[in-house]
Amino acid sequence: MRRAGLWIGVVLVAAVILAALVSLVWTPYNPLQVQPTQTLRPAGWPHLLGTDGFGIDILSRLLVGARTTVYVGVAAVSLAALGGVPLGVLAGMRGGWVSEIVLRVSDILYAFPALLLAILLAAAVGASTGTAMVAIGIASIPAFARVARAATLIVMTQDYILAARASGTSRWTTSVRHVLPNIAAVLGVQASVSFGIAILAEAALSYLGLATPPPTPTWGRMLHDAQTYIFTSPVQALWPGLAIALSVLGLNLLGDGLRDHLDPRLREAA
Amino acid sequence: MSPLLEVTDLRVAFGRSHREVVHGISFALEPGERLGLIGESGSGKTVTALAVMGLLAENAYVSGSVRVGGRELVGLRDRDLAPLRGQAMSMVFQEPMTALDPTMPVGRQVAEVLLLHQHLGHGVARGRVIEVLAEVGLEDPERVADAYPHALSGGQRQRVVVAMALINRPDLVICDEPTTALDVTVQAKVLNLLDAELDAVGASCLFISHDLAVVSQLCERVLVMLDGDIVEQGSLAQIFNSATHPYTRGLVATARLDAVEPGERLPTVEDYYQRQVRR
Repeated sequence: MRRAGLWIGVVLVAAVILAALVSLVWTPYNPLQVQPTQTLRPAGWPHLLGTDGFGIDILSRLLVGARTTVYVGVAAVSLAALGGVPLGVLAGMRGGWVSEIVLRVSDILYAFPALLLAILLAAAVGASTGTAMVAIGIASIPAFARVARAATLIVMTQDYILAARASGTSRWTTSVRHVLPNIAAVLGVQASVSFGIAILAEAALSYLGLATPPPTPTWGRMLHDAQTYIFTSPVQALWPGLAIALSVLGLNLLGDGLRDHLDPRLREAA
Repeated sequence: MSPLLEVTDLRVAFGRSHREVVHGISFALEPGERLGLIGESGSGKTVTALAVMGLLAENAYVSGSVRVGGRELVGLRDRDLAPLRGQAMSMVFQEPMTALDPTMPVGRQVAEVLLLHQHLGHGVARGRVIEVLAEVGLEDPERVADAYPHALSGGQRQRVVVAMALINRPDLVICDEPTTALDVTVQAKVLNLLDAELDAVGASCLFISHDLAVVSQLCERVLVMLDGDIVEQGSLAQIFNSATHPYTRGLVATARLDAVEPGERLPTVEDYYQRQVRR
């Protein structure tokens, strides 16, 4: 059963990545081409998922939108991990005032909504894909810092850390060779959960017009555009909504599955 | 000959309240000597060992003097201490289940200790690791080197830990209850192994245990620690025959189960020593 969840997650996430890759070389129609004669077509042939209010092929827009989703997700999670993990590991290994400072700073960041940060950034440097990446990334740092610290605290009580130190391994080397591999499973789970949150946040930001500006298709933008036709053609909102929901579900299933899979003891038992 | 390890008036306190758990102990260890440090849980044995290694947590306050080979270690910065650890002095831990990193093949962990202190190629290091794993009595050392800790038994793991502690031929090996977590037959084998390997390397040993019977198999001289103080020290014969402190007499009685008549109640330390409740 646990395996099934992992595989569904893998398939869903792979589908999103595949869509993003495919969109680089091929889309059924030009995702930017307005066709006034083809507006609001229902799903069918030749437009598999129909067309939107501008007559643009929805499937093509979804495929290209996956690209933005993957970009923003990967960049935001990487930024959050690069910022949060070292801070968390440092706090967990050193304790004392170092830990206090890291925790208080992450509390402050935590209290600051990603949306507000994105609005500030958008106002300062303009709304763009980069703005969304940075805003979501910074907002996700505290989650990584806290998870990394908690996991490090547990690892630090283990004798192998003491044994490594007793063999003359420096603090830095110990953290890279012994702490990081032992908290990797937890961080992997956090990464996929954060990825899911980042997708939702990116959709929200582009829905509000605070991320990738038009005409580049994004799932959030598509939801925004579909809003106009919610009474005449509600199925418009279904496709991007479904895309967002399924990718977030996939990432959560993947995260849960990874947690079980990455643990060498559990792996042996399974 | 000057002592290899000289501890003078060592005090260790913890936390903001500076609660002292080791109250100014002094002892010395000659090169090649084996010294048993015996005491119950919470008596300060492990804290003493970690203080010698300089591995106490940040919230520990250490004062007094620890000299290894004439060099003062108390107050030394971590980066100056690290090169000594694993090279001049090393440690064998109590729990073979947790003393090895579960994410790394054991061969790489042993190699790491070697490579930290010697510049060797990886091929040479691996050859040396397999040699040492064979020396500590592991069958099929090549396979063991590639195994993860969870695939080894407790006894095998403890042999790996011993190999890690001895691969750089340190002058001082601190064994912190190395056999407590093992069953009695494996315990005897690991003790024999330690005995042989310490001789082969020519290392001194500070052997920590709560079990006088185990200490008596390996050590010539014994320190008895109680509530952060050394209450008695002397050769094994002195401790067994003419112990003065009631706590030590209790320990001796519990180590001599062969002296108990069948059907009689086994002796406990409390028969000899009643602790005063201190506030």
